[in-house]
Amino acid sequence: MSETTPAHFFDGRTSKRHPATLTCERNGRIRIEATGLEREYPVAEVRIGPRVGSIPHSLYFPDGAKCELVDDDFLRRLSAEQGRAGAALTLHVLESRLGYALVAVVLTAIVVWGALSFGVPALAKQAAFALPESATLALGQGALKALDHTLFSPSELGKATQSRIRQHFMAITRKAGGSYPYRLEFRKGGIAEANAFALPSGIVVMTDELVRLAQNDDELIAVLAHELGHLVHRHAMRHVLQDSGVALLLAAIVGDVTSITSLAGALPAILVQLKYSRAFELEADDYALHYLRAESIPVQNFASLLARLQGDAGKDDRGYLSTHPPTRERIERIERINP
Amino acid sequence: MSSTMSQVRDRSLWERTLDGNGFKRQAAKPAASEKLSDRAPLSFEFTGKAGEYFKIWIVNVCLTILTLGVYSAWAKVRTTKYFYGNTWLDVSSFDYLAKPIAILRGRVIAFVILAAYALVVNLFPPGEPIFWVVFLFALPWLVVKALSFRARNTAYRNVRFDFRGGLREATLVYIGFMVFLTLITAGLAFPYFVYRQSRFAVLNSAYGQTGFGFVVKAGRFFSVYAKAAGGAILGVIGLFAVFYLAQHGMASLGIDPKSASADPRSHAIVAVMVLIITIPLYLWFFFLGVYVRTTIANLVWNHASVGKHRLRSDLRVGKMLSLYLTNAFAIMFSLGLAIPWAKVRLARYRVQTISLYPASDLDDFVASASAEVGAAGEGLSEAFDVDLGL
Repeated sequence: MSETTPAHFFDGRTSKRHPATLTCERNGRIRIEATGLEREYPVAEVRIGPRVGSIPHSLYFPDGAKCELVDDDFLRRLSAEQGRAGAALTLHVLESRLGYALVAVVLTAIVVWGALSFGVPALAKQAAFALPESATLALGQGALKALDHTLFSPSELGKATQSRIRQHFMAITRKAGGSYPYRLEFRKGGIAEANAFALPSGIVVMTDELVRLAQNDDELIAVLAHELGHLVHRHAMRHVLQDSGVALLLAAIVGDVTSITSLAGALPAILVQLKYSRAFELEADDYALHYLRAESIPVQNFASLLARLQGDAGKDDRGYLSTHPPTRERIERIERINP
Repeated sequence: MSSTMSQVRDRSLWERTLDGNGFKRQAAKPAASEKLSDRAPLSFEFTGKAGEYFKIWIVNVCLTILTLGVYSAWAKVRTTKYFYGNTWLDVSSFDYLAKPIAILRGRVIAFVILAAYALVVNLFPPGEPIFWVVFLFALPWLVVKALSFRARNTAYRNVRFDFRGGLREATLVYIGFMVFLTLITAGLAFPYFVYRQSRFAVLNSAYGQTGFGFVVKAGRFFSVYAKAAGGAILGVIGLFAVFYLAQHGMASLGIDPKSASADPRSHAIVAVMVLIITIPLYLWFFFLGVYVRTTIANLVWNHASVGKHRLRSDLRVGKMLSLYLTNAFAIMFSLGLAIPWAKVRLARYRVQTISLYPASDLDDFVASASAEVGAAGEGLSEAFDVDLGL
């Protein structure tokens, strides 16, 4: 065990570096000797700076002076002398062994995966239902107006058709209950093609193209129930909350990496959000199936409309990068529930 | 306990000065005080290592997540200590003295305000502009506090840095120039704001009692932005050129661009075009961003001085660009595990390109007594990503 060690002494008044010799005395004092300079401090009053990586050790003295040294043994002796060897070095030990690093990698991966798969969605669900309905309604303000500007043009459906479908819609909302101001709107979809949307303000939009694609009203009822499922389960609010949760989690990991490299964090965030969207679609499907069965409407209607939608769009299933689960998977789910 | 570490540790900088139990400089590297009279430049050096920092980083990330973010204040201090402690000038390294508790307090305040903001934006959208107006008027205070906190918790040779910028000048710079002057001139005066922002940050800084100097003409800032703007215009012209060529290309294939959506060939052409246009255009604007950042950083450092000592920064745009791009790719393909490596190599390059042209040796700086600064400004400016101009 070394009792003396070379060090750099700085008196805290000027930037002068004093090459010095540190001695740990037997009488519980630490002595600093340099050319034209000699100091002594009680060991108990020396503050040992936190040890990080292999940066020099810092000793801070009560009068504002400081010593820098590189001798591990001396430092260990000093902290033993102070009788609090543990705490200051525990973090450094955690940070300097490959084994601990590997444990930290595994632990972080498990916690992040668990939080993304279960924690964030569960918390968001709780919060979404704890928040007042008005909060969810506020999310959708102006959404229809914006869509009318960009996507839609006025519906070309006849009044009779519209009011017939509205009757179905009202039956579904009656079943859903609650004080939500549900409303059904018809629009010509344009590039949105055959589609239906649920806006958080309680408005469900159905495109003319979808009405024409359907072969009977039961198919439309299935779609309407699906959209209502989104509203009943407060998917819009949960989406907002989940995205914020993911952003917070990623910020904790990526930390203060410069904004340009945080670009790299955007991709995983998008993938996670798409995964959430698909989970919501399945939840809305379940709501629709539940309604159809309660009303004794053959669920096959839902499956056949989905199949026709898929054929109409003429696109391949993109599974992983899509906001919706593959249609085949959804149809199989429906058929599994009710053969 | 950590004897393995002491073997691995790079002591080269110390060993230059260590000789047995005394401190003697080796003749092989006389860069330090003997040569100071000749005013040879002292270069900053960085000794951090990716492998070593990886272990620190992953433990910090893990503890931050397990403590629901509370540990992040300790993580910040340890990380900054690591980077400062591995930044050397004339055989001494820098020290970061912030207390984790102060940072935690700042982060809690920032978190509460950020949460309030998120609630306002989502639940009461008309409230958002009010929030931004309040934030705008708080901005000068925030910047002053953040710069003070950072400066006063940075020390070199046990002498702390200081920041003495006043609220009045901060208001002039951040509200007068950043908002009003930039709006009135439709953005044309933005370089003047950047100039004043840098001047504010540098000229009010001090090392102990020794103030920083900053002498540069605002015109230099304008020329940097003028070149970048020229580049941006070229990029847009290029974009139109590609569109024009693509339309002609479609026409030559016998596709009428107006009713093209039915033709499957046009879908393929559009897809290829989107790739051909967006990727180089994105890279080009990314390059322009890096160009501005790097050139301004050099400009500021090269005209800053500490007392009589001049500073010099030799960052190269191409090198920075390649560092940023390779870092982004490495982080993406390693699921984030390459973050420590990326940070270390970026820090190493930045530190190594800075040097100090001393007028005398560095022993005569006098410390000043400075009060503690709360970390609320630091926490908030971090949370809102305020550009401190450094």
